[in-house]
Amino acid sequence: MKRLRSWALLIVLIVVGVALYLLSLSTTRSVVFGRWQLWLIGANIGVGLLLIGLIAANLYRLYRALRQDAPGARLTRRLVALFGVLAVLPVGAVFYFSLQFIDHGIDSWFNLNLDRALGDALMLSRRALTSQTGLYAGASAQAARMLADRGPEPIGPALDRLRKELGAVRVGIFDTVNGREALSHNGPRAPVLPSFREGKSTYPMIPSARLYVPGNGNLYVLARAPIPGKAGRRRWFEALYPVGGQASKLARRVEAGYSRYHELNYLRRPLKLSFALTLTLVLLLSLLVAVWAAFFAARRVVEPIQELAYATRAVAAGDFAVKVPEHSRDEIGFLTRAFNRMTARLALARAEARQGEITLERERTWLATVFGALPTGVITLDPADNLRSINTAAAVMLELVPKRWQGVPLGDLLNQRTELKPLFERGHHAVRRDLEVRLSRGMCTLRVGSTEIADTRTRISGGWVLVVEDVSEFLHALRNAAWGEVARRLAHEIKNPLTPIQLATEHLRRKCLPGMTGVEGEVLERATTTIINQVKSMQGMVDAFSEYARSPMLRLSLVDGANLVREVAELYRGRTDVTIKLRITPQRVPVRADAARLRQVLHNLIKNAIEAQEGAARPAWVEIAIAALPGGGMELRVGDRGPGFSPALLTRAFEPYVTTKRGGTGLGLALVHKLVEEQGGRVWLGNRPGGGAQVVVRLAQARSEQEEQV
Amino acid sequence: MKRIRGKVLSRLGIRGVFAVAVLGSGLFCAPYALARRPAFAVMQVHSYLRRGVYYLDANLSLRLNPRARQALVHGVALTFIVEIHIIHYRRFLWNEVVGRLGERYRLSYRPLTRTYRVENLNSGVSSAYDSLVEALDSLSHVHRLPLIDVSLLAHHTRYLARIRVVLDDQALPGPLKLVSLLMPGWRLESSWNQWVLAR
Repeated sequence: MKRLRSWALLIVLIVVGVALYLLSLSTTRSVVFGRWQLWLIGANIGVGLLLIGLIAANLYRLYRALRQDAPGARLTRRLVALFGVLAVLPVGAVFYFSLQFIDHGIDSWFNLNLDRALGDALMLSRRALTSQTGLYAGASAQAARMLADRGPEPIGPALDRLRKELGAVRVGIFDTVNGREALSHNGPRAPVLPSFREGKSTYPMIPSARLYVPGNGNLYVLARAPIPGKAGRRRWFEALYPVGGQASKLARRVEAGYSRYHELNYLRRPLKLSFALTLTLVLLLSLLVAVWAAFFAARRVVEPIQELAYATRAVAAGDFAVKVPEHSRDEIGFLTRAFNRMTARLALARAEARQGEITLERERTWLATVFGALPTGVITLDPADNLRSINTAAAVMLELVPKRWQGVPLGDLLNQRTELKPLFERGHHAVRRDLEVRLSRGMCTLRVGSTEIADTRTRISGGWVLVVEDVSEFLHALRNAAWGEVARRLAHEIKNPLTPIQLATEHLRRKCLPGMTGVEGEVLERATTTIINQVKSMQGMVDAFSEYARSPMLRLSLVDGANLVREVAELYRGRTDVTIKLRITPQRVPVRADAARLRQVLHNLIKNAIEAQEGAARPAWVEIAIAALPGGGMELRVGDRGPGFSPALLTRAFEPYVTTKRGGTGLGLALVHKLVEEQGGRVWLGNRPGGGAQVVVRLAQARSEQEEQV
Repeated sequence: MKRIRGKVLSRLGIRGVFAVAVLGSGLFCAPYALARRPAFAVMQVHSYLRRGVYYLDANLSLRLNPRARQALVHGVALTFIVEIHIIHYRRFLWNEVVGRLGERYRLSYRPLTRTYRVENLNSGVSSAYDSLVEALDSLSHVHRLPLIDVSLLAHHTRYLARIRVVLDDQALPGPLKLVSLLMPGWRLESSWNQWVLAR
């Protein structure tokens, strides 16, 4: 395309050059090119129109590019304007001075003096020639008289003689009636007399002579004289004298010079006009070519810059794959190569950065997964105390929705959850402490470790990381284990002496009581009875302890919770002092659980509820509600109309030996807690809104499966 | 109209030419489109056959406009061409020009003798006249001009002949030639006058 354009420019230049050369040639050498002049002018005008069209098209394209703010358009405009001015100024100057030169130069060839001198020379020549004509007129008149007076001599020889005497080239006698009468000439090449020609015969009244130029172009003097004679017949003599050699030659030369000068003088204006026209055409075409070439050159210059500009835009938009074609070895070529190198490096750098980003993202995902899988809660805070991340374990532990708290100022969270405030109290050093926090699932012991994330180099705080562990279960288990050990030992240590005590007491009673009467017997009777009863009571207590300490093999199976509740409730049906109200929402509540343990849990809870209402006027009222959990599993609620749990009791009710009942071992709820936890469930205490206590047992399906694997 | 234009052009002078040239090529061609009273005309034509040769007698009307007369008096020789075409008439095809004749005459002014000279450029015969009227009159009469030998013409074929007279602008001196192309006053020619070449 570019090469084609170059060729087109070259061809147009050649055509214009040839046309202009021919035109200028035709102005000066009219003979050769005369016939083609019109065609040449037409061709030049055609080329001019073509150029105007090309320039107009270029201008329109430039205008559109400027309107669209295309890269390089402004530069093109500036270059074209520059080239145009550079072309117009010299061409204009050349045009003006050439016109001046043509005008004055041509005029200077002619002047008034020369004009007058030539006119005078012509007149002088004419005078010099006509001065002789008088002599010829006289001679002719004399000859005419001689002819009139001539004797019997024949006319022919007389005329010949006369011609020779006069020195004329041709003589003749004419009359008005017959025309020619006699002729004589010195040769056939002598010019014909004018009177010989038809319609030229006029009778001369007096002898006359004038200059005459016949067809051969030589100068002659034509003399005519009337021949005196009788009236009625008018005859005249006519003679043609050659004008003397030197004078004729000079006169003719003067005439030629005068003619030529006058012609040139006359042609001065057309000559100027044609020169000016040719010049105008030549310069106009040159100008048009120059302007077109300006567009061409501007495009050549701007094109690589344009490509660079487009490429820069592409790079700015993020496309580093763009490559600018390199086709010149100049500074722009250098720029192009540098640009290409730069984009290549940028592309490489971006690829590396992207690789790094991917790696980083992978790391981050990995870390997030690790954090998510961690059973320990991890909460991070930025330096401005906004929550940065809360992992799943922490969210579950603190009963938070992780997504909701992302980026929220810590203050907002604490405003809503005032109970968490102590969690976030932290000093400048890493601290690790246990906190009792009241959550909706009950009192929890949380172990919180807080560490400041500090940049190792700048020592500027990068925020905080809080590690939270719910150690309540762990502590509970520890306590349970300790209590279990105590119970077992206690049972063992107490049970051993109890039997001898009982046996000894019975033995004493058996041996001594029959022999004693009266007060002594009564005392013994009462004392031994008391001992035996107390020992029995102690044995029951020891049994309870060993029951608590004992933990048989867990047997998990699919149990219908609803059915189990119905069975247990059936056992209490016959009792008049208890009203059991069942609320079983679905008819079947399948759950993985140890049926025996679950049954015991239920018995313990019912028993607890009944005991809590002892001493009341009305029969004990127990409400048992069972419902299926959405994710599988079941929720069991046992409520009563007793006094409910006191706040102090709520936190510690599951610990053994915590009881409000006289004579209670305080192991009921502790056992419930133990049994439920063994099955992977949770249990918590609360008070019913209408008064009375409520115990909630929740067995989750997922946890039970995990438990099964353990 | 044309006089006014001529005056305007001449008054514009050399500096005005640029403006005139720029004013457009439309003006360039306009003069040719203008209808003009013919300065040259063929008044009468007669052809006849003598001894196997066609001869032509014609009367022409030649009028020189002031511009041409001015040029003549100032030493510019004017060349007239009497153009004659012999045409083969074809009924179903376009006509074919089988013969072309151009009688060329040069008219010039002689300042020494104040005469006008007419020269037949084909034959070389020339004659001088005291006035322009006489000179043009001598040009106006074409007498016994041999056209074509009858043996060159095919039998049973119809031939036409046409004649016109033009001022040969190519014979004008160079500078005038360019001007004559651009100015209407220099375009002197008669229309074609056509007749059947009788046997």
